[in-house]
Amino acid sequence: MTDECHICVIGSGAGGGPVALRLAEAGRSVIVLEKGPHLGEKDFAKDEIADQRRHLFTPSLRDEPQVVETWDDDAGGWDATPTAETGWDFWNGSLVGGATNLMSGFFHRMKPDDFRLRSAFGPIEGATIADWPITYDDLEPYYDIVEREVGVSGQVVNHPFADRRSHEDFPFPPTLEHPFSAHFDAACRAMGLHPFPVPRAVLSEPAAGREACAYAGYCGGYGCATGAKGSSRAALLGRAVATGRCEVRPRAMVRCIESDEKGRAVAAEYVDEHGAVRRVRARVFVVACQAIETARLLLLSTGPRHPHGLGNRSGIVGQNLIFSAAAAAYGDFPYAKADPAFAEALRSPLPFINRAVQDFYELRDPATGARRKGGTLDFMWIAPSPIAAAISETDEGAVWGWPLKERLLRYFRGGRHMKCEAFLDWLPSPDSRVTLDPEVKDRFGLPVARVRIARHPRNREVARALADEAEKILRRLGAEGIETSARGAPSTNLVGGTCRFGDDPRTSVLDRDCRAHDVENLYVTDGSFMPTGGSVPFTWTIYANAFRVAARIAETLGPS
Amino acid sequence: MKRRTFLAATGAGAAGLLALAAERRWRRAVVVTPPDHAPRILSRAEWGTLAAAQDRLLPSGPGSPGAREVNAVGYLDGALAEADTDPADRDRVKQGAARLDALAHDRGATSFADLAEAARDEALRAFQKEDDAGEWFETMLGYTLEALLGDPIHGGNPDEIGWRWAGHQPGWPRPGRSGT
Ligand SMILES: Cc1cc2nc3c(=O)[nH]c(=O)nc-3n(C[C@H](O)[C@H](O)[C@H](O)COP(=O)(O)OP(=O)(O)OC[C@H]3O[C@@H](n4cnc5c(N)ncnc54)[C@H](O)[C@@H]3O)c2cc1C
Ligand code: SF4
Repeated sequence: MTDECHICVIGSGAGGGPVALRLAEAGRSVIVLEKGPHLGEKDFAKDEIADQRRHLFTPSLRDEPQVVETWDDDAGGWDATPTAETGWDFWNGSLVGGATNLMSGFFHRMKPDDFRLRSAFGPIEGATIADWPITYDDLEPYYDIVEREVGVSGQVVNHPFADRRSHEDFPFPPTLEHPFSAHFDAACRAMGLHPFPVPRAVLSEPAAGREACAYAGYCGGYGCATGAKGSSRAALLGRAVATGRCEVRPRAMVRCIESDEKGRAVAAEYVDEHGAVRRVRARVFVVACQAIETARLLLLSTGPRHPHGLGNRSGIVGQNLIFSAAAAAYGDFPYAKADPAFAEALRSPLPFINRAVQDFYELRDPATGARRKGGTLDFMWIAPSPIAAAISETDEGAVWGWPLKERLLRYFRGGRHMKCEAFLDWLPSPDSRVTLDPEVKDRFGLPVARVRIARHPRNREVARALADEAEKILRRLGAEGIETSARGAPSTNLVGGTCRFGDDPRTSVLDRDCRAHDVENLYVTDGSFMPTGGSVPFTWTIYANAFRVAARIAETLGPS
Repeated sequence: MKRRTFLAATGAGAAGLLALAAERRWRRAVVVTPPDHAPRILSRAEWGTLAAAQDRLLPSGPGSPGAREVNAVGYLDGALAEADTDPADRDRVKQGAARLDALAHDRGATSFADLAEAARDEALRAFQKEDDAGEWFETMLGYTLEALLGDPIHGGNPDEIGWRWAGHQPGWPRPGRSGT
């Protein structure tokens, strides 16, 4: 086992996989350091107790907590609590391939105006909105590459916010759809809306040694046993290793990137599965630990020229943390109230509805009538995790005995349950940020990430507007018992922004190639680079940008 | 109906509620204590009290499996014996058992399990009104519903009796292959 390579990639998810593949293909030696275990298709099973309730794929919050800061109105200050004592958990998947193993794979591209949010919609007080240094046209070829390399299935349907594409069609036809999708289309069209099939990072046909989707449900939150899901592991890392030039080291927790007198990164120091400390030396380092842990690693990596953390001359590493601000609407479709044909359709076991509406991607300010950003509405059946569903029916332990059993029967046997997830911009601010916790340490003895969740009031306003539109659609679809949630709360699994890219080294951490302004051989390729994240889930964009940066790194290194 | 409380608090729905995790070891099954074996975490008395309580939290009826049929107390003992289980869960479960027995004493019985069904329900309702009892109910219902609706590999839900009752179609593939 050599500890020398051209490229050392830290973190193996959506940000890490494309770089490992492209640089290995380009003839470079690559070592990927990943803190989680190496699991494959044969290890993945649909086991709610192990996978969800015991968090098989993420670290124990008692061993490796993070600290969450939320605003406490009563105390008039920030309240900091370790995640083990809260319901929060920002770990999303610690295994080879990262959280991409567990994602649902609802894929949306950002819109051209999302790359220039400040110019297109103007500044908003209290938010550090910045235009991206690149445009949609710069990234479009890489969105296209992701469709082929990761595998995206879908169908192009015209709508007011349809994507400008370089290939007319998706490389894979859409996945099979639940019969409800046709009902959805008809109802939305009758409302003058433009429903379209959601592109999925799920293979509808076998390709590149991966099987097609088995449609057995239990998709989001669970590993995929067919390889159909476009995880970094199934789609990219296997091929990278097959070149003979890429080695993936699991259970390698990187605790510091060392830098020399000139300020260059020289070695990644990690703790292996036996607790031994090892080092990998490389010409180029690529960090992709997901935005919160990436910021933490850079802040931990002080050196002679980087007293405040690697790449942190600006002092803003960790700031402008963004999420996808969330809103949701729920509705029930009882079999008893549906006519027989519709009830029969509702009972179909096919898991995917795959429908979205982007007619509300832009909204009007209720007071001034000015254009403002809205978001995407995705519709799906609530995922079948029966224990979680049953526990919710207890109303936090208040309902038990026969009343509980009646509720359970109604929930499980009485009909189908739909959810609409709304994705909207989380407005960045210097206060929304990651720092090193002054007290709490993890099992490696390292200070843990302290995550401050600073919410801009606009998030909630837009969330409300979108939840209201979702409610109207659910009503039109015939749903009962509709509830909405419009707190504009942060999604814990869509995270970005802690190392924003830009052309000004005073206000950004990375340059337009996602190279640190002040470390010539350090790149960051997870969602950390995004100054704003669009009103869509992030992963297609993270993958695309990682392919773009990989191409830049290959160019910079020259012929191998 | 507050069935989405946690989702409302955090936005997306990936995370779970309990802070019981397994990372360093790669392992799936909770090893359950079978009904005829010595309990591992619970004392004999606690076992009896908690089984009698679970029987009321998830009662049994004709065609309607309850805590008894899904081996809920053996599952509870096994889950509490897990190395990664939060010690606070163990303490809470045991303190609740002691409290239920005390309430049974007040009602003239030697232990909670000796009370008739209606009296057990009444004692549980009295307990539920006490400060901090809410967490005990949440914890107990969590483990009991795991025994009803989890994969049988963990020792609850024997012959998929809970899934069949709920009409639940399990995912594929099921755990238990290749050393997982
Ligand atoms: C249940 C779920 C559903 C989702 N559904 C969708 C969806 O439908 N659509 C969508 O677009 N997105 C979805 N996502 C989000 C998607 O998974 C993430 O956006 C994506 O994985 C982010 O890529 P990343 O490279 O930033 O991080 P990750 O994929 O999480 O990879 C980071 C890796 O770095 C490793 N790491 C961290 N610190 C260190 C260290 N110090 N040393 C070594 N390794 C380290 C971690 O273990 C991890 O494996 C979902 C996520 C989850 C959890
Ligand atoms: S086979 Fe299909 S449904 Fe199952 S996990 Fe994979 S992508 Fe999801």
